[in-house]
Amino acid sequence: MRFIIILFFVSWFAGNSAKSAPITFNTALPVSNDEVIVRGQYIYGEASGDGMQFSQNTLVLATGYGINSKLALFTVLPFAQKRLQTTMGSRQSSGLGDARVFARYTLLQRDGPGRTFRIAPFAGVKLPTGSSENTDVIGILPKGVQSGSGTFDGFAGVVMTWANTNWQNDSQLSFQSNGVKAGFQSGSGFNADTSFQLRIDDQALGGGAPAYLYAVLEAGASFKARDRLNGIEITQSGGETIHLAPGLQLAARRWIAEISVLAPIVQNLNGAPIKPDFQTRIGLRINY
Amino acid sequence: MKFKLLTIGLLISGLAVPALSAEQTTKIRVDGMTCPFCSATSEKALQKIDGVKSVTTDLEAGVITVCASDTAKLDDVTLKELFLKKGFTFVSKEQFDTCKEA
Repeated sequence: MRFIIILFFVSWFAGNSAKSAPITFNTALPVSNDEVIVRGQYIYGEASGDGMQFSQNTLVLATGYGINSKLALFTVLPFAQKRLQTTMGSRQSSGLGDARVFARYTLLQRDGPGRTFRIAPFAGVKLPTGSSENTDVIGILPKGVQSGSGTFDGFAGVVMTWANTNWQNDSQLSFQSNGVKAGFQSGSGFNADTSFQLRIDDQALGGGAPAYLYAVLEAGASFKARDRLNGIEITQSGGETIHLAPGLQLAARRWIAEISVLAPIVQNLNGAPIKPDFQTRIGLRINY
Repeated sequence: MKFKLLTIGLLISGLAVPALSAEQTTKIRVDGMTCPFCSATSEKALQKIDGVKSVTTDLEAGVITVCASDTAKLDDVTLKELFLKKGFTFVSKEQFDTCKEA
């Protein structure tokens, strides 16, 4: 039971790691026709409580391809190392996690000189590409330490972007519904995220190429239903979290580098003993 | 004889001189570009057009300045389609007879 309880914060790590721009989630800005964007992020996070310590190193590789200027396809591949330290010892796993594939379509676009407003719905599926049956010398690993969920999960949402050359605001609503494996179903989740990026400096890089330095502040709220086992709710699961994530972003002509620290400021986890502490991200985006 | 030699010489020199095309500046107003990524992808597309020599962007004003030969295909239809594919909005263009220094 205790190891089922840690699922919430693990999915908190995984859910945030699977999102793309601004830093912790998506944007409605375009991927041009026949253009490819590659994004890599390294994420480190910790959670603790009740004598347990959880840590996760994740490398996320995301690619976006513009089918046309309005429709883009994205894939997200996470590679994670997870470690749970308890009074009984350490349990850990590493490997490919669950991949995400989704499409985003620009529904509304209003452009002006040096500014734009866009709304783009998106939908996709999380694939069970990560192993959900890893074992160690003790036996099968707890669900929260497994590389993957073992289920196909659907998600959908909408993202809005309002940008000009001095600042940008992205806001996103998303919902995820999870499949069932061996009678276990992780609770559905609803997320609301917003990001504000303010240009604080213009820099001339080598060769006179311009780059913009942004100060970034992101906030998000996650609402997760209780997990179910054979149709019965697990009491100490699910809950709500609100987080803040300040960061910096350097946007050049062909690449964007970014760093942020995400910390929960409100956590109501229905009595779950272990809670997320923080998450740091370092990332790079390259435009081809 | 001298006249024939002179005539032949003039003909050969005339053939040897390459035909020079005139340069022109095209200022293109484009809406929707908000960051260096945006200008880079637009400039890359314009530089692929035959005859384009240089491209610079003023993001604040939303103006891309192109120096190109007067044979470069920079008509409204071409530009509208080019920027549509990039995810931006072509508004208008102005053309001038020479290329100015950046």
